[in-house]
Amino acid sequence: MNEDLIRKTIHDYIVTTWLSGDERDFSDDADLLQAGILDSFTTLNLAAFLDESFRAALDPAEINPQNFRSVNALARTVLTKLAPSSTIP
Amino acid sequence: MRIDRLVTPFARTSPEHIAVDGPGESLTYAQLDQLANRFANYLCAQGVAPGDRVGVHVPRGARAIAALLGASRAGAVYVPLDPSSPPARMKVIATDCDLQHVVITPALLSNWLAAGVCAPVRHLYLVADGSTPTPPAGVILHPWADIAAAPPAPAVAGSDSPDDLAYLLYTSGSTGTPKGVMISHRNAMAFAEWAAQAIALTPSDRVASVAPFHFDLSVFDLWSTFSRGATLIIVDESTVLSGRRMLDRIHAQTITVWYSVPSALMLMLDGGGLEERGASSLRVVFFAGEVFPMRHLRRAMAVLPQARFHNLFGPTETNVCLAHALPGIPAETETAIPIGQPSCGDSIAIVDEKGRPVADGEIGELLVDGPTVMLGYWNGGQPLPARHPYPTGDFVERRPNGDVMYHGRRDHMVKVRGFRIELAEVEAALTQHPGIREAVAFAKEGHLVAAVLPSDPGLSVLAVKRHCAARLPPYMIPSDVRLLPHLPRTTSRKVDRVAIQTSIAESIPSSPKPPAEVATERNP
Repeated sequence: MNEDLIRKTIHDYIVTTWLSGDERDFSDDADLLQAGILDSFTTLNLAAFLDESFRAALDPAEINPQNFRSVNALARTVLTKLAPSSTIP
Repeated sequence: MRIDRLVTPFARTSPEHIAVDGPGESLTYAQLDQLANRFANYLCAQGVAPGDRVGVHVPRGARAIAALLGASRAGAVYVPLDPSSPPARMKVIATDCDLQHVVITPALLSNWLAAGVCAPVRHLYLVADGSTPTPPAGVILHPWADIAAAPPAPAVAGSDSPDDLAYLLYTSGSTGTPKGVMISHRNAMAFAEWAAQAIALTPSDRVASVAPFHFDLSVFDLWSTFSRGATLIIVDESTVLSGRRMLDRIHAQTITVWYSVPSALMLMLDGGGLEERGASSLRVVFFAGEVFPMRHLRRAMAVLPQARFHNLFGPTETNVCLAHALPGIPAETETAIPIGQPSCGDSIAIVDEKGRPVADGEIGELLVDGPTVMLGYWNGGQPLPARHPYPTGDFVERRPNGDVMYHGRRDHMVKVRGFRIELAEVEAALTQHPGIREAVAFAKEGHLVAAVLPSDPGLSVLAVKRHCAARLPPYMIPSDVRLLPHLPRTTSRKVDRVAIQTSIAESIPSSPKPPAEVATERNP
């Protein structure tokens, strides 16, 4: 799965789930904490979503504000989780 | 003092002065006095006895007022019926108060008969000529011509007691079932007199009638106005829907006193042109019924520098019990204005859950006692007397200077994920955004939802959330923000919270799952 698709999947999920489908003003760089989207509840929800969608099961230590700061940060986090397995033929 | 004694003194001293102005019909004090007597005499001749309920199902205007006054002079209890209410609600009300006599227009009668809501009604009194369907057997239809020909002399003097029941106002209450609030002449006049005095109302004042008669704001419009021989200007229903037309009416009629919910004033600010055109005739602005968003209040006060603004507070059950005359435009740092100090001779207490008084600065429930507290709820003819002091269900706090601050309704306090949230606080934060005109917050299935009416079409959900995140703790940020083109309103023009919640609940496509469910799916 390429990075663009991962990014778009996460972007769409956030827009649908927490922005009532309204994409305006929402960029993949947008700070999710400042956007009032990220809290303890939504963080867990997002972690579960990444696991279900990409089989990217995060360790508790990986569920931190840095990895969850934006769509881009989330996409990078997913990629790092996928990297080892994707090299296996 | 009794409501039914008003008007007559001015019919003697200034018979030609206009009591009610338009639309369509204006009546002088002498004409209103006589027409009220004709109604009273006619109703008495049909057997209306003191204490009987008389429904008035007529759009706001001169004849509706003559009917209210006439019913009262016949010794009856008037029941204003909302012309825009659905027949099912009318049936509940008519049954609850055993409404045998109803004053009505031909058009509304046709609706009634079509819906078959005549239950206890035995007499229908038409306030205008017009063709109508034939009522069912056993129901007598009284033509307008007969009422207009009844004697104009004062009706047989009834009771003199101010403690008689004067009218029933049916409120929705939180359950949605209409409840008949019983207001005595003393209750009504305690507020009407206080208000007239507070603003030094005179015969030259021109008072707007904006509120429907089944809504308690109209008690000021009618009875304060007539207690001072002033003129009531009817701002009809179709005008009230447009800020521009309302403002036109204020200008054309040189209205001096205005009393409405804040949203009517906000309509004139946004789209009505109030900031460009001003309204130099207004000297008093009363508002009540809802919290006036601070930003809009400042705007309104800035464009009406000559007007004194008063925040009036009280549920239908106590009419107005607290009042605050604003000393000037609130500073930008002020996030709320007081609901004021006790008015109308009422006294208050602020208590905790166990009924113990709380200290200044602590939040508790507002209790009210005094002359404005209702007699009770009608309750199908077995009245439930009001509790004294009356618990309002409102959370308030008293400041050291005696000013009372509002902290929302008991039923607007919600718990979301264990956090106690005062919805009014969330709404106040939302309306601080310059692109938001009005906002309603509520809890739904463990989530905080905000319905937002933007004043700026470019407003995005993200912008609303960012705004909240900069002002509120995370648990108070609405997880579900809905931008709506309009907010449904009740017939008293308050935002209809129930309708909003229902429509949003029906439209929720994919609400976020609570973490517990997500966890279960991960580890089945």
